[in-house]
Amino acid sequence: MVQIIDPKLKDADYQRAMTLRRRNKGKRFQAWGIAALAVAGLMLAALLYSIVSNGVRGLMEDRITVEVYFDPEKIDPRDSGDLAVMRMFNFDTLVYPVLYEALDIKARGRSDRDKRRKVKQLIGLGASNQLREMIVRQVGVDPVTEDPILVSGGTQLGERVTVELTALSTASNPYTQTLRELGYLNTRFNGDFFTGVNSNDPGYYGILDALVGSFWTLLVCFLASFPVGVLAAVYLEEFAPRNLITDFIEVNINNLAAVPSIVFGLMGAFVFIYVFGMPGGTALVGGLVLSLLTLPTIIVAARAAIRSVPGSYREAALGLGASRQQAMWSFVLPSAMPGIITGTIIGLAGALGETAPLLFIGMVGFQSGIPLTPLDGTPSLAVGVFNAFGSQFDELKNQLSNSTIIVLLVLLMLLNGTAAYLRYRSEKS
Amino acid sequence: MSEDQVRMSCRNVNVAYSGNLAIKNVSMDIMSKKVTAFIGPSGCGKSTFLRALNRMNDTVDGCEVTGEITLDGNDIYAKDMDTVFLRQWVGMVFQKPNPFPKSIYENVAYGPRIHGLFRTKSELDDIVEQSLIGAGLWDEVKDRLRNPGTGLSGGQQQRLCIARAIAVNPEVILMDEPASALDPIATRKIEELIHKLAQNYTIVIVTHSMAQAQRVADKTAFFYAVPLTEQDNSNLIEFGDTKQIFDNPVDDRTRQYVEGAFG
Ligand SMILES: Nc1ncnc2c1ncn2[C@@H]1O[C@H](COP(=O)(O)OP(=O)(O)O)[C@@H](O)[C@H]1O
Ligand SMILES: [Mg+2]
Repeated sequence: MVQIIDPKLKDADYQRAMTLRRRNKGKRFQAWGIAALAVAGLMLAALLYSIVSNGVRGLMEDRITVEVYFDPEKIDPRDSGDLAVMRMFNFDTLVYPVLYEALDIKARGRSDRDKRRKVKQLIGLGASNQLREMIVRQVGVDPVTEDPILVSGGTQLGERVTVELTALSTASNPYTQTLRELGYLNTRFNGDFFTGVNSNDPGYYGILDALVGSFWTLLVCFLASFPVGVLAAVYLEEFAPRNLITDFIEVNINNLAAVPSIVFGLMGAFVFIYVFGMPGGTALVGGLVLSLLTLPTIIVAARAAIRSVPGSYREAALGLGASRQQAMWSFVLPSAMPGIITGTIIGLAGALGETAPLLFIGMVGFQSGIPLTPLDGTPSLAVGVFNAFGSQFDELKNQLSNSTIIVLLVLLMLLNGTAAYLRYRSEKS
Repeated sequence: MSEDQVRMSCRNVNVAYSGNLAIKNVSMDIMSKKVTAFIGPSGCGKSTFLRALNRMNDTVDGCEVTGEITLDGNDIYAKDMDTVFLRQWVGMVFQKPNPFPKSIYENVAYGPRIHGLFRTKSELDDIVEQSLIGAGLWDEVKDRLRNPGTGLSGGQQQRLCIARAIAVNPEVILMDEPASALDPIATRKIEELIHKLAQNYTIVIVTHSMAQAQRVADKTAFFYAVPLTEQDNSNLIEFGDTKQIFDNPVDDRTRQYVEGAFG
């Protein structure tokens, strides 16, 4: 007779050793799992920390409060009274003397030149514009001469006015602390961030245009993709004959969902802007391009929702003499709506965060204020993250970029939260 | 209208699903204002035949009906027959109560709405009230017509479905095991209701309860599943007065079935 069982297996020591080995193996596997989770968690935490710590600083701003003397000698030396002349003046130069005096820096001479440069770094283009607007404002352009139309800003030459200006790069400036102690510099909530628009001067950068732009873009996206997506789903689920053509369409809807978004950007730039001549960089084109991305999501979600509607509603309606369309519109579609809306919100949330295709169609760098219609050039919020950062690294720009990301993430969480809530509610009932 | 007028007449009806016969060569007359019961073991084609009577099978892919079925002499499978009207004349109540996810009022009003059976709101109110009275549900729901129909009990839901069916003023009502999902008390109410409805409507009911067939039906048809033995050329084994089918069946299989030998 052949010995099948290895005699070792009957040995108690051997059995104990094997058990131990198996247990150790299990423990090792667990340890690896925990380590992998820890790494993933750490990376997420680092990302969130970087966004939040920078972003929160971008939501605060340092302001310099100074009394500015609008010196007529400097602004309009020949006493011409001409607003066009006054407009040429570099108004930031009115601020520096006050700060030099406060900091005991000589206003002239070689010795303090470096110190003066540091002080000047605190004041940006935006501050200069803010002071200029107090004296002279442009309200339009003369249609014939193309000269700017100028009006007085309300402040007269010779007045002394206390103004608050945004200070730049305060974290790395050696005078920040001293100015703060002297009462010239204080930190407060950055209201400009929510009420201002895209600007080259990070001290005056805001996201209102990007927010409104995103709203228009999503509205266009929704209007373009929701009806088309729902109708396509209804047709495919309820009326389409089962044949090769519908199978082919079905496969390609799923393929559409897998196409990298930048491809849609390129296509959109060509079709919508070049072929149809729509205005580039607008919410109209942006929304249409993004609707190509949301369309497959909506179709897939709507089909699943329609399929899950109990057949008994349809049957009951048909039994009463309703046509298939009537049964569809009066019962099937309304019952499927929560699921369809959930899918649509998820699609729109994806569109909200989409950036690459929008860069293609020119939504980057716009500084034309708040878009009043979908036909105005505008950034979107996701593009705003890019706009805020600008082309080279800057402390404040980085912070603002992160602040924009925070707003974007909050909106995304709200959208996805709504979708999750709707799904939860429809599952319960 | 004479006592035993034929409302629906079926001649040599076959129904196949994707080529597989479920109903073979069935001929019968359904008498006006009588209750006709279909009995037989499950899978023998009772529902299939019932659904052929108002062309509900049209919605099933691959289902094919041959032979002739007439309603008051009109071929219901004729090319120019509009299923919208056919299903108004021949209504249906399903096995599982299936009220719409809408108010009680809207459940009943749906049929009159799609068929345009009223001109004013008060006419519609009237139809809804009469239908609910007809279904024996009015007293229970008259104070909560705006509540969802799905909030009613199972038996009430089924009576709501009956009210919904009679609201379009049909001539025939088809019922596919209308009480099989209900408790005995609710079942009793449905049976009493069927009795009452038979004064005004022609009723065809599928049931797997022998007792129920005996209680409600004037005529009973016994079906048996395809495949059949060589000598059978139809799966309608026996059709006659309920009393005769139960007390004095001609076919052995009928007797075995009504005696409960197989189910
Ligand atoms: N929609 C359908 N598609 C294919 N076969 C079906 C369908 N409905 C019923 N059948 C078949 O037809 C036969 C009769 O079914 P049915 O009429 O439901 O029987 P009963 O109501 O007597 O229990 C069964 O063999 C069943 O499998
Ligand atoms: Mg059945």
